[in-house]
Amino acid sequence: MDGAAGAAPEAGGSGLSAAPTPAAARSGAPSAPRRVVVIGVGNEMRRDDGAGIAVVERARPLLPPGVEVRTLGGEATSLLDAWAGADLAVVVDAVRWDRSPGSGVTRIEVTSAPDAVSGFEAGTSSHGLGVSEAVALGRALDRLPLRLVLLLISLEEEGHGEGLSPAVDRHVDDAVALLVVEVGAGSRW
Amino acid sequence: MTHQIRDLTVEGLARVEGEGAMHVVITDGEVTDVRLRIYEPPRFFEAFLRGRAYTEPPDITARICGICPVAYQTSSCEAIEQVCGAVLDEPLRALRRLLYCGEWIESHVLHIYFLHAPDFLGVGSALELAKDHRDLVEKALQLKKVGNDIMEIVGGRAIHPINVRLGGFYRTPTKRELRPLAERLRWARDAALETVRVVSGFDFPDLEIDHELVALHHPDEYAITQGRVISDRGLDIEVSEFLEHIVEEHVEHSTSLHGHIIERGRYLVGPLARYTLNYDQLPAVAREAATEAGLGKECRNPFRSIVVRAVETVAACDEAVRIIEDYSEPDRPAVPVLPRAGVGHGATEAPRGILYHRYSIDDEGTILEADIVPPTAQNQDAIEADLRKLVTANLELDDHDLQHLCEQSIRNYDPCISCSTHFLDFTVERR
Repeated sequence: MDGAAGAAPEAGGSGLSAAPTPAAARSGAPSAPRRVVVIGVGNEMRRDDGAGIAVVERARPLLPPGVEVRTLGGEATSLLDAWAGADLAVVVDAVRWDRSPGSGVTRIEVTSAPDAVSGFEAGTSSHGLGVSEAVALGRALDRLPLRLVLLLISLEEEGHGEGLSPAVDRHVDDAVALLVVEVGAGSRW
Repeated sequence: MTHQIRDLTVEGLARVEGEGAMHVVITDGEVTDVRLRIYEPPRFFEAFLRGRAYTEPPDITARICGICPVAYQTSSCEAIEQVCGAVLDEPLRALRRLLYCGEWIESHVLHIYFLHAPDFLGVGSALELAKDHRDLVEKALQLKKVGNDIMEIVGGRAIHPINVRLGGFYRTPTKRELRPLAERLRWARDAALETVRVVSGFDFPDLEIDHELVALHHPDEYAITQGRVISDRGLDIEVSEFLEHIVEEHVEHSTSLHGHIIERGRYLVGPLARYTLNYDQLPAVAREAATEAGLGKECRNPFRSIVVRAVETVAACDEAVRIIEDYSEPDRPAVPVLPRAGVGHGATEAPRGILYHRYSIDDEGTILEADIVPPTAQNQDAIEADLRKLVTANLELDDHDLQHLCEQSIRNYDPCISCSTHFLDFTVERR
């Protein structure tokens, strides 16, 4: 779902399924409290690599009460811990994207499109084990959350320093909108 | 004259922190060049810190490395507290050491199981390891999680702890909050002992290093947060004398600085140095595990560093249990640290070795100068020397196997290149 910036998650595409709708929640039976985790990944001192963290921080006041907000460096096993036992986990990360650089925000519903979790790498490596490795490890060890959604922002600058590049800064706002819709829908069903 | 040339190029060296470049040249069967190229942004953080408030380095430098933020926080705190003449109350010092034990457990377990063990078990990655040795990886994740838990409870969160400040913490945990951790740490200590048994059964290539070994030393404990800087060749100095004996030199092939001991040259920091210099300070349970694993009182084979890391994980778990059992809630979460003009030095044992910080501040607390010497920069020369020795001894290997051996050798040191660089690829050139 390249170039999905600004689109609602329900738009789907490229084999990536839509988030459950509020209608589904209304028709469903009452359920146990849901655990929703939002994870911003990156390093704010490496320019655009801080985009994932910027997204969750900007989204924080807009998220429903009870949603856990975490920020991580992106090391794979820490991600496994952070999303352990979650009904919905949304991971936001800035990546080098080999199939469509500069494509803005890409949404991947991992649960239904596992093969889509490839072709990108973490902006600043943590021992070579990043988000895609975490997904693969989680799958191998049955340590994925019930639903896992990745919002990936194509990064442009990853030198040392604070501040996002202007293009990525705009994509952060797009990702915030996507995240709020994603979590809003996920929290209700 | 015709040269026999073989070229081998590998793009991207897997399972090391960050990126950099390694280049090996073999001419007519002789190793003629070995270079670890480091592309270091020109001391970005040191420049970034100039003009900032003296209270900021713990938070700012913690972001240099995602794997060892506590090391950066603690070294910067120690340095600035020294300038300001602040001394931590004993319970606060113990908490700082407990937090650091958490980072050691996390970092060592990550390296042992997910980065280094695949080399010895003949699998290409942690993912393959998870498929082939699921029980092992499950246990590793649980063990690492105990380190995370310490970081969360004492540090405020598992990554880039936010509860650390000059003089101590923003909030200190209650005894009740720490008590459940002790029970989990006892399990972790057993899991770490099992780890020692597992990794000591690996096959280790022969390699004996002769680098000068340098580590912090404390007479009463396995030095982590404090100590004198000592070596196996007579170095014995205060941390404040570090830059009088250690010089950082530019080398042509790298924009990073190589650390050398003045008039002696190359040296090594990290697990092998700590173990060899501080064996007597290890807790008994760790010394017994080391003996059972076949380690003597010294270890100079870098391939066996995986065993030493496992022994140190036992030590960190044991020490954390002891700290929690002895813990008394501090009267105050932090001692006051008031600015005064001067220069301060701090060094702690990051998982990869000594991390040295030096700050010069004015009487209002503005930072005038900052120096940071990370462990990997200090070890670069030693890594190059190991590669030279290893390649020379294994020229008969085909390119694939030689490359694997070199990569494994680099991983022996768990190089945290992102602390000092930005790009790594690997090249062997045979002429």
